[in-house]
Amino acid sequence: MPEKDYEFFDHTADIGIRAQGTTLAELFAQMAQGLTELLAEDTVLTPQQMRSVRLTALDAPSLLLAWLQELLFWFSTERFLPVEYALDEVTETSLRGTVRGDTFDPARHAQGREVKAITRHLLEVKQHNGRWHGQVIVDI
Amino acid sequence: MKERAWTGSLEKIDDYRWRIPQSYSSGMRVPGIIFSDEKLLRDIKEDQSLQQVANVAHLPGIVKASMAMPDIHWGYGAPIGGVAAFDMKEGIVSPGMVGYDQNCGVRLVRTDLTEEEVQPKLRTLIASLFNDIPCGVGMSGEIRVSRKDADRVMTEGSRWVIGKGYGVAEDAAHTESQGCLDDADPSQVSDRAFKRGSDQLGTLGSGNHFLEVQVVDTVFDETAANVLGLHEGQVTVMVHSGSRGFGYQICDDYLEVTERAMAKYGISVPDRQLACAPIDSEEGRSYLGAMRCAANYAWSNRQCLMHLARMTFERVFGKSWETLGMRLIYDVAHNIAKFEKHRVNGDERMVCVHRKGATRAFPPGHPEIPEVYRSIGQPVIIPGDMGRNSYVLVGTQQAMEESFGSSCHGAGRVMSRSEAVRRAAGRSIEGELERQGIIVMGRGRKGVAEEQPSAYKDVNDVVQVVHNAGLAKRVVRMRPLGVIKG
Repeated sequence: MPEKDYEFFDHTADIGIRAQGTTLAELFAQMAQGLTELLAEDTVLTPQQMRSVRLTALDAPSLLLAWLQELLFWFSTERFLPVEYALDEVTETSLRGTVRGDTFDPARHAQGREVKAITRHLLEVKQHNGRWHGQVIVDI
Repeated sequence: MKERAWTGSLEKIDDYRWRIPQSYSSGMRVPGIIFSDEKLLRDIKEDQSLQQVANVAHLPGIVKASMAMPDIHWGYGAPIGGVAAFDMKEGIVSPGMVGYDQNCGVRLVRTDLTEEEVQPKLRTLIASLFNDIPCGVGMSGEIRVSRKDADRVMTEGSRWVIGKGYGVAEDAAHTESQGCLDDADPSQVSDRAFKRGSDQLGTLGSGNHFLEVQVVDTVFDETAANVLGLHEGQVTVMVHSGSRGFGYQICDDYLEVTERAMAKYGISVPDRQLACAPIDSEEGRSYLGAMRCAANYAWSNRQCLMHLARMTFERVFGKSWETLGMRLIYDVAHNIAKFEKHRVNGDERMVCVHRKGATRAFPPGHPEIPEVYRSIGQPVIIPGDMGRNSYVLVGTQQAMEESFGSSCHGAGRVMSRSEAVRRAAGRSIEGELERQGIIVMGRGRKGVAEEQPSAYKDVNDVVQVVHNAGLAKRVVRMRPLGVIKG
């Protein structure tokens, strides 16, 4: 699991995630960790399953949206939470790689919040001083 | 990011009505009308909800005014607590003006139990409800529907789950729209939405969803209370939940569809999140067809939750739910878009009313109200936040004339989640509420802290405005005895 480089911020009734990384792949991994923490708090997860992911989008913010929506979908339908990321190819318009993760068990794991959706509000991906920064608000 | 406070013009019409004039912004097609008093207005001006009211007024085909209820607060595109109606030919439909949780709503169940009868078993009752009703993150429901049956949930709403044994016909009769919107179109629902909804029927969810055991502590209108079957000291059960992942996914899907549609139809909006499509368009019809599926799923969900609660009461009190008098009083939606007939400039016409964090409040005599309630008006169920009062009101002719038959839905947040968690540090919210005689059982560690009473506007203030403005009249007030939340 990558070292934490994300934080949460308030946004009216909901919560925002801000993250950064040296590469887009790192940024996307950090955002995913943020989402995971919202869902399962500080639960210790072990990578037991692997999934592949392949997404395309019009631009980097849309790609970030698609990435987080995919993770939320995996969690909603199969309780899958990501732990380790091998995102081989991440450009501003496409993402390809594999994710290793765990199955959330409400009986054993800490319950976070129900994330209803990844919103488009203040959605941002930009490069600044050689680092990638991202921001997203989730609907709780 | 700090939201800027409102600095635009706001004209006072009377003590409970305020207007944002069309002159405020050149694109406004109608004025903004805010139902509020001075006290609530102070909070309302702090976030950008009034700007959002003005933004909604830009939308094509909007009729009469962009309206706001006293519990209004900032939302995605359209404010929560907003009401707007659109012409069927010139107007638009907007997923952001319904919200992610389509047909989030609330139902109230009466019982013949008194507080004295319930108190000795209260902890057992709340613990049993907490055990029996799936709530919280990652919890599945027991009630599974096959893909084929899912189509029937979507097109028949609560009638279908009732037919499967999760209630009785009277339950549907006492639900807004009989628990089913016509013209739901499952073919407009994505595979993703089906998958997200497949195991969530009969689940409460999390956040501000809850199931509460209450007692009626004040009767304002004895005649209306008698018609509703309510009296002081009586125990009631309130269920607040919506369309779960099924609805959230549908909203997500159609935010994308409508955003693409805007360029196609040459619609420009002051805020991207007010993405919309003409009602009379392929995209508009698709969204409405899918939204109705979500609405029907939500009514089915609340029907299942009520059924589970009835079963729990049966086990705890050792009597059938019928013997306990656990009849459904009414169920209302507070995030929805409906085709309704309203009088506009003297003529009766069909309009598409969007209510996002607002409740229908039809007047006495309206044919859509169950016959048994027709003399008093449609019951309007207003949930308070955790630890605070809830209300039953009835709709009025004034609401019909002024707000497309709409009223408030509850109370909005005034404190951010992290602020609420900070303020809860070192405290046990559950402990504090228990000292007030309220038992709270919640799943998420931060959930209860985030939902603490002080995080919300006072629902008593909100209901007072709605009552004084004449949009809905107070009938009874309840206070909580115990609550379960995810």
